[in-house]
Amino acid sequence: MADPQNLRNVIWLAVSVVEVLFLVYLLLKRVYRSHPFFFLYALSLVIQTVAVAFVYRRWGSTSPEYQYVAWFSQGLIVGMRWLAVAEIARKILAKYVGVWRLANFVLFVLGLIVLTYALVLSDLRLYAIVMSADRGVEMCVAVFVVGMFAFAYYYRLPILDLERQLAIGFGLYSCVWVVNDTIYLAWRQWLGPIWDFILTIAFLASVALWFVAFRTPLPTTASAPEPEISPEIYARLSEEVNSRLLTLNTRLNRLLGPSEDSRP
Amino acid sequence: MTVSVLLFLLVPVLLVLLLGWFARPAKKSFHSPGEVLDALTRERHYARLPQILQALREEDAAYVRNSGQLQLVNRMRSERIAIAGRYLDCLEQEYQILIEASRMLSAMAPELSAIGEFDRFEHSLRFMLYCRFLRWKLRLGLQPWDTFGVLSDMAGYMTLQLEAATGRLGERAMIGYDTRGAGESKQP
Repeated sequence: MADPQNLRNVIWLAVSVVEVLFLVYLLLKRVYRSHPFFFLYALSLVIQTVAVAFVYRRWGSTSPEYQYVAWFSQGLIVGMRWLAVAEIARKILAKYVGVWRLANFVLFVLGLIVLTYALVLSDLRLYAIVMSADRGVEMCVAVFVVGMFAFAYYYRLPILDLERQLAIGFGLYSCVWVVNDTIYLAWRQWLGPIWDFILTIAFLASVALWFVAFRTPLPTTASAPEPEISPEIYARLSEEVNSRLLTLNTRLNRLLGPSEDSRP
Repeated sequence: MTVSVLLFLLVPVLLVLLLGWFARPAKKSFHSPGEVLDALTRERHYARLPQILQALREEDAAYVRNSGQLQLVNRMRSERIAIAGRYLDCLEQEYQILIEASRMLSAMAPELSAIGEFDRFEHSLRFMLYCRFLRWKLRLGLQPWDTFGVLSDMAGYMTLQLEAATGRLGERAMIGYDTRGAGESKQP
């Protein structure tokens, strides 16, 4: 049977290669122009891998240096992921001023509630606090992505396949992250060094999805024009909507008639 | 396994399901205000409702029942249920058009009220549930008129909401029109 530590190293190497290939792919596609924060996120993944590998070789995985570098860089990665997700949300919703303002407010409040809820339910002992916080933030990202899609779906807003696939990748990855952290916090003694295997698979699946997303040519324009209606169309629309509603209302009121003959 | 562990395992699963649901491309009924206009002005077959309602009056059944034709009464009752069911379908379609129109107006509006939007969402859900409830009442042969009354109130509420939304949109459109007009008049 393969040594778990060796297996972990092999997975780590494979993930590192995928990260570098993905970054090169994004560079060739000039994604930094259309999605700068997404590109920075991909770049930060490579930088984190290099930094953690360096510290691991120099001081070992049990050293405090390794812990500091690993968790500090993880904080940066989560921050970059937030920015990348916010960038996608802006691309989808910002063209619709009213919806964007409302979504900003609702998603911020929702995120705050989820984070508080996640932290309140968490194990706040010292060894688990960083991971609990990490899990809370990831849950926030997942809720934000789902909320963003819910807004777009409710208001029937068009979403480019590129943005859809990027956001799905982030959403799935964050959900798996929450499950992974929970499994680790609850059953870490049983799992040993292969505890983050599910997360690695989820990460590779997300990167595969993002590869596919960027295969299509990037949109040439920054954004579609904001929908507008002319005063003439508006006047007709308003009149028709109101008269239609009035008719419906009148007819519904008449439906009450069978038992009430006095009703006009 | 503690409750918190269970929650942290179930919530992500729920989120993935929601993600799968909401990430689908939305069925867009209207692509432009012109299409909304077209849908709203289109004649619907339930325009003959006054005649149908007249036929649904209780007095008609009472007259037939008093004349001892029970078979005919039963047939009338089943036909009434079918008519009410068809009317309900039309009502749902009509309401759906209004909802779609209001969503489109909201998407174009420069500012949305969180409470207002939530209210409309809640009313839409209630409308949908009432329609289901009404259908079951009809199937079970119960008197559905009270529920129809509630639906009527909800349609009235929708009217007010749409009036406010179209009002906001109109102000915006007029401001935009004035601004563009002023801009164009400055050009040589």
